[in-house]
Amino acid sequence: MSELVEKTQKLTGWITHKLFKEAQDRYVQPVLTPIIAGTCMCLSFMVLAIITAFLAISQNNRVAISKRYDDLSDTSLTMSLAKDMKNAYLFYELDDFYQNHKRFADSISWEQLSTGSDSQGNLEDACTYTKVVCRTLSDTCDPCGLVYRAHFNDTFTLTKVGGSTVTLNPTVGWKTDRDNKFDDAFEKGDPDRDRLTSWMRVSGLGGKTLKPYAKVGDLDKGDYTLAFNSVFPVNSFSGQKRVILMEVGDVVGAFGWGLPLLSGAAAGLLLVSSLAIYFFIAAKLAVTLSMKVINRNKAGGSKDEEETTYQSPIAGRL
Amino acid sequence: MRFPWTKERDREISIGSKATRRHFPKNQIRNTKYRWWSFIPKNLFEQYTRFSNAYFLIVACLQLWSAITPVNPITTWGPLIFVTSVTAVKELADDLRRWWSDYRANSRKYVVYRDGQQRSISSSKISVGDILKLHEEEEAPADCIIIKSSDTENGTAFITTANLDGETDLKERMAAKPTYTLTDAAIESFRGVITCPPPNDIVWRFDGQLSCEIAPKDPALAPPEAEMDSHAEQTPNLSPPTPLMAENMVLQGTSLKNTGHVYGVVVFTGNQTKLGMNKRVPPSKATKADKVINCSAAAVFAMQWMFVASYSVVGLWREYRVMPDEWYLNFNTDQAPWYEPIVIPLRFFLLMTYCIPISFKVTLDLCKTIYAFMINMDRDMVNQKTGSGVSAKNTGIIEDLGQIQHVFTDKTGTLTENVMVFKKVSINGTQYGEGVAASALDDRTLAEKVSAGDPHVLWFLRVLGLCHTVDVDEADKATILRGEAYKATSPDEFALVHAACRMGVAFVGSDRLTTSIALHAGNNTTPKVEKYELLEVLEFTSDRRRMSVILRDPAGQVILLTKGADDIVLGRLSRNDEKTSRIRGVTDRHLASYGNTGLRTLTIAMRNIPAEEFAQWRKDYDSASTQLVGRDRLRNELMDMIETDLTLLGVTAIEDQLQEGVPDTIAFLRQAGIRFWMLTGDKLETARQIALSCKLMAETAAFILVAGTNEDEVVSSLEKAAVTYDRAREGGREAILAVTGPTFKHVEESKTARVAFRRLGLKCDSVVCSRMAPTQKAQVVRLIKRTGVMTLAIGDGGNDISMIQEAHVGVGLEGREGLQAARAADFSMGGFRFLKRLLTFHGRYSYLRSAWIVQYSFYKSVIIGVGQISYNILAAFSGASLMMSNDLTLYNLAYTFLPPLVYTLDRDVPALCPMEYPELYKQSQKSKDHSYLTWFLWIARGLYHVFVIEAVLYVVGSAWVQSDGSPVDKSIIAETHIVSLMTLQLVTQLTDLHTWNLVTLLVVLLSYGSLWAFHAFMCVLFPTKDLYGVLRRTFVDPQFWMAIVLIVTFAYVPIIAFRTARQIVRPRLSDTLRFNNAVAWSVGRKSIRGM
Repeated sequence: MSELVEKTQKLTGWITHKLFKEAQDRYVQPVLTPIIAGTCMCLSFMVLAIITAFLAISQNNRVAISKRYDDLSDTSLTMSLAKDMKNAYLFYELDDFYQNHKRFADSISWEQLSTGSDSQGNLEDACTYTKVVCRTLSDTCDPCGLVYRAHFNDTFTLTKVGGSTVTLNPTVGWKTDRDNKFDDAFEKGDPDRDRLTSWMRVSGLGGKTLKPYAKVGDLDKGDYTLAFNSVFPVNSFSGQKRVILMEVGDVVGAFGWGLPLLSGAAAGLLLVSSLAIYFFIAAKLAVTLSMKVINRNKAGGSKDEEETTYQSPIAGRL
Repeated sequence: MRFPWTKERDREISIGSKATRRHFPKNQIRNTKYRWWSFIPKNLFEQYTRFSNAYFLIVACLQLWSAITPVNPITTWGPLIFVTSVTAVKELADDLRRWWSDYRANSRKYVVYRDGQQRSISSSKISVGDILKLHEEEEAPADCIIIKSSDTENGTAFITTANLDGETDLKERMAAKPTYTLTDAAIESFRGVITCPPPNDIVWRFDGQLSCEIAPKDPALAPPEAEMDSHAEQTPNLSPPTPLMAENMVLQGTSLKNTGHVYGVVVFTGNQTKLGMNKRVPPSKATKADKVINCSAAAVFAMQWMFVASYSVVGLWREYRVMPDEWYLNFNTDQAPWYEPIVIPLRFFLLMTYCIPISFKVTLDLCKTIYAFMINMDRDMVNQKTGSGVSAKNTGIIEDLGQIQHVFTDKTGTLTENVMVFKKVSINGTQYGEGVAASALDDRTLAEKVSAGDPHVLWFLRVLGLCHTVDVDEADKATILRGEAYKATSPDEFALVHAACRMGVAFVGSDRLTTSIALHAGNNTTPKVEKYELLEVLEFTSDRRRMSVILRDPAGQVILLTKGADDIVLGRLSRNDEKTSRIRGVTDRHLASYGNTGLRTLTIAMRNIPAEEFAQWRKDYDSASTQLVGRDRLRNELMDMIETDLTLLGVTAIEDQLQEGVPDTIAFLRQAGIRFWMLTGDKLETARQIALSCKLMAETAAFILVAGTNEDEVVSSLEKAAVTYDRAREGGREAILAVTGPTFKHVEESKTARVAFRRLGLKCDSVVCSRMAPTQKAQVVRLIKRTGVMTLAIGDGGNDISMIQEAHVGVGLEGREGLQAARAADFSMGGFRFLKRLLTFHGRYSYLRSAWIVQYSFYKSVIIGVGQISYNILAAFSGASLMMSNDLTLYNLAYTFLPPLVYTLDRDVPALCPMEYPELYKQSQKSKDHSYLTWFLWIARGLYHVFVIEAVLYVVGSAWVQSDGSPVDKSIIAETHIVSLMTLQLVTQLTDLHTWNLVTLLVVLLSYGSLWAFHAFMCVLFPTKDLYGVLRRTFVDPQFWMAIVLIVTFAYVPIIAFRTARQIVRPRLSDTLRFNNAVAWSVGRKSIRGM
């Protein structure tokens, strides 16, 4: 027994020795010397500057029209396209509508949406804030929760002025949602099903809720009439409703001016930092060299080299 | 019936009595902390009375309330259970180990006699009053009084205390006087009564009495009822009591050696033995950094509540003013009025709990274990001669080794080898062995005088040969006469007896009653044996600082032979002895010159005692010895009485060589900013010489002595010393403060003197304290420790233990005087020179590593806690959580658990540098890397990073439409958040690691990879979980990558820019060394990276 213990101790001792000592002795040293740091920042600046330029050009060329419609007395508005649109999507946007409010976002049963049923306890939890407490699965409770009960129900149609109605393809949202996640939610074949799945995915940032309405595809330039049926109430919380027609890139998607601006700012930060570091290096070098000269004059030019060996990293570098 | 709270009176142990056996506890040893049934409740109680655990328990319980919890309760329960069980398993393993050793001790078989019957019983069944038969090599199971030994002639027995204090020499024990002549059969059915004090922890003392039953009970002769032993069922006729002392005792844990067997009466059992009573939990020590950690954690806690309070105010306002208008929230006001004001702050509180890192205590403990491993495994700290390495016993305070400011060191055995070489001798005013290197042993004149039979020289040598506690191994006469058979506890005594033997007076042996020497000057002379009757030994103690024997010489004259410290013996010389006064002056000069060359001196004296004076004294002394109360005081007074009127014979001088590497070590550590205090029992001059030779002071240093015989004198002396100090500093000289034990006593008594002494001591380059008593050593340490400086005490002997335990860090050397100091210390090692590596290499690295680990742990927690609550600015102050439950749980347990651990393998400078550049140590000594300032910077860094993450997410996320026309939802934002957060952690870990080795790189990258692996796994497998389908969308989205690049750029460029600027403007030595090493390496020159 004790022999075994001793042997194990010896073995673990050997292993830990190997692990701790040898691991420490074999290393690479990622030393970020001032010159390396400055150079890295300078290079990063160049890369980021190119990306910024690309983003800015791309954003500048994007055709996008955004119109508020909840304050209109009319039931339609006009959108004028100065350029052709490629791969356009129709979006709606709610302002001051907090989908990510804890009370709202929690009021959903993913289990039910996916499989059609959930345990009673979970359902009760999910539906706490709806007036109807779902004890059984009935129509009023399918699916349960505030997110579904407060879903957006305005409708839009798009017509070219003096032309035909534009086909609005309702296939929007995540493919995985359509196929798996919302497997048992809403009736399959319902044109609103994809819009609903998009609605059920709550927005994450503030009161701005941007959702896709339909895929529009390519559009020729010209005037278009957008007819709307505005039933979703926003006045009580002084929200706004907007409709947006926007090009979406195949790879990058779409973004606002925020991304290129931030990217430009980051590039600027890198440039300023690298210049500052270079300035410090130059200043230090000047001080070190002049001190050397002064010292040499003082000591009559017979100063030991030894003394300056560990004075400054830059001196060592030279 | 005795209750635990009643104080036990003196014990009356009736040998062989059943009542005695029942009355006292059995010999069951228990060192375990828990019993099987108390483990879970007791351990949980202990863990959850600690603040941090209690805090998280409350949090975890609150999370069970689904109305307030923003996330799944598992996020707190998981880590809490993990942390609790790690601690519990560690405790359980420790306790099982203790239980196993108890079990083995308890089940060992022993032979005892009860009522004359021989029985073989296991150790735990032995009870008080049993007669135990202990065989050679057996370990005593309990404290016993020896009543008979196999040595029927003298009743001696030998034991070794190697198991207790590591001393391997044999110690002599005596069987009790009235019984050692009895036959075995009589002993086995022996009856009597032992009276002794209740169990206590004083090992060297036992004041007992033994009364034997002398005749079979006879009702007629029985003493009256009142005098009877209450426990005895019979009424024995008892003999008058004889004293029992510590020399009659075999302590639990000691082993019998060179003795066939002994019979002993068990007096103390189980945990009531001297050993058991001495088992104490050593005073726990906290590191200096712990205070900073606690205060900073409290500040983080306060910050947390500030966040919670301000968010709650806005949240409540929104709840009452805005929410009723938001129809989609279906807000109903039928809740009780107290509901919302309570629920909303609690929600925010739960969001912020991640600010306090739950696993950081566990992480830190693990790291400390790793440091201890590295110290114990370090082959460069193994003493090749003895094979003993450095062992870290108190792993909790390893970081403190990097912060030591004052080192308190013992001299003998710590700075010196404790190998005594007999050098000089001054007999009757004549010096032998003149010249620096010469030894008195080689002095022709002395040898001639011995051959000629010079009485002064011979008596001097006789004292050396007779007055000591050295033993002689059994050997042939030639070996003894060559001086090769001596065994001694004290190296000084060994040197003296050995020298006497070489010079012609050989100690050949002693027994209970006699002691003999052989005069054998020259090899051809037949030795002439002189046998002295041994009347009394007045032993050496650190208070008496002298030892005497009283003998009757072959001519029948009673003589007292003394050797002792100079000041003590010189003070006891006869004032009217003509011879003494004649040689006194010369001897004083000799003493001074010996002290000046660093030799240890002893003064030798003797006295003829008139027979009637001795007879009277003997009577008083014997009666004092049987006293139960005040025995020691009485005996000391009597010893003082007889040891007066001495005749001076001469002085011996012994050299104690410095240990290997001591001057270099001290010189290096002094350059590293460490001040040295030398505390020694030796006299001032010797101490000063050693201080010079071990580079504790320079030749040119001003040696400022504080002296005085009362408080006022000491205070004025200290004032003068301050002036001398200023003058020395003006002259650019080192200033060394010196004080002696008697003076320090007055310093300790007066507050003014204490303050002045402390102020001066802290300023001076080194301090030399000589003639210090053991308790005074601890007093000095306490005095200095109180000012807040970090102290380390190092010593090798039992007299250093108090100082070792008092200092922040105690280091014990495994010396020639046993392992006592090493066992009591936080670190034990095989030589003084290893202190350099222990402090500058291990101490410094450990300090820097822990500093990073602790502060990083808080940083990574603050970033997540503040991030969670700040998200509510974008979520209507509703208490929503941005992060997903799974990520919250795994963040501390998987994603960031290991990287801090492998930081224990980081080295900020190449391994050779800490031992080459003393300046490096100052960096950690001054707490540059773990202070309130660095904490502030780390927390500020965390807050800044939160700001960057949330700002970039908001700006990018609010217009972010993915390529299939879906604007991003909360899960994509959360994904971007956790990935950028973890990328920041990766960058932090990689840029803060000074060296990337295989293990650190692997662990850091794997931890980062575990996030990706987990998300990839969740992305495809569980449709109902919130991570389903997320990663496959973000992975191909350039905007996702752009957001991460932007976050890392904004978060890290300013930090690196500032760091680089500081390194240029004010480079630290460690920066410079690292840069130069890297440059040397990159241009292909030989770098200094190796070991």
